[in-house]
Amino acid sequence: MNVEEVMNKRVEFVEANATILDVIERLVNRRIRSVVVKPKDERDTYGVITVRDVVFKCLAKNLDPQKVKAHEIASKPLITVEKGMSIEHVLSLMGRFNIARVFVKEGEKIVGVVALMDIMSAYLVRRLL
Amino acid sequence: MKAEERVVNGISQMINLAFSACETLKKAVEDRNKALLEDVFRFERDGDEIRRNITQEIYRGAFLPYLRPNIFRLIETVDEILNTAEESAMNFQKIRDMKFLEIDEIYSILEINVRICSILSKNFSAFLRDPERLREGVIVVRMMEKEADNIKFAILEKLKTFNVDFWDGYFIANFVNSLEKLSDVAEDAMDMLQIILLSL
Repeated sequence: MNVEEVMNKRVEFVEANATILDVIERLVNRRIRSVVVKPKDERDTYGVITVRDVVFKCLAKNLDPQKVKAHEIASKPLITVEKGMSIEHVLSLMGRFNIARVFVKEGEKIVGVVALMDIMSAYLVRRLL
Repeated sequence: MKAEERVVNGISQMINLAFSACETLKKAVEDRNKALLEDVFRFERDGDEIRRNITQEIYRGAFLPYLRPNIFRLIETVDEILNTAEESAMNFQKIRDMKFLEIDEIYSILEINVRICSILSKNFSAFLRDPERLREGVIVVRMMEKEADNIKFAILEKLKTFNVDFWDGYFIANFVNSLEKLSDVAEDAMDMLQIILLSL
């Protein structure tokens, strides 16, 4: 099994200056668990914000989600993998970095995301097909 | 062959038809080939014929009376998968502006429907024999249905940015809703199967 077979193509991007309220709105409307934050400038890199980041880095600290910007709480750098990489390799990466999702790159473009939930689902589907 | 076996074989055939219908629908959309949709309509008609035959078997006395209502509901649910595939095909046939097919998620939801029907079709007899395998199947189908539901919302969000005329908008919305309904009905069929097994 490789990344391409498992990945979820629903990746959403927000601008670095988007507010956390924008991020929350995107997470809720699109029913996703993370958004990719675009680089602020040429020297910056992509980041990721998950529901966990929103809660721990903003809401639980009583910060105003209308004022906090996406780039301020985004986790960086984004851990990315190639489409052809094996899932076993991805799992070892996730274990080493203690992360629940990696993003899939095709050239310089982010084309998908693989979360632990996607991998669990893929393993179960494989047992039945 | 016993009447019960004929009923089980009939349901299995209907599930295979549902799988073929979903696979053909996917291919028709991917290739933008509306001629293929005729096959989906044919699968639905074939399914109706099988449903009538197995209903008669039940009427003539297949299965113990207390099991019959649930068996019948399973047959109706599998038939609804075929009806929903036909509904999707009908809506797709009427859409003129195919620009909305730029939305990648449409192919993802079609793929999910094919996979769910494939799981049902490949495991139907195993599910009847092994409740633990069925339990696993129910979990997987439930996860996939949830994903299809999420994808539908993403598609609807993206569709808002498309400028189409009223009737195309109407049929596109119906098409997307019926795609999501397919996985929903397949999940109902799995639940029905679980109820039958529990009552045996």
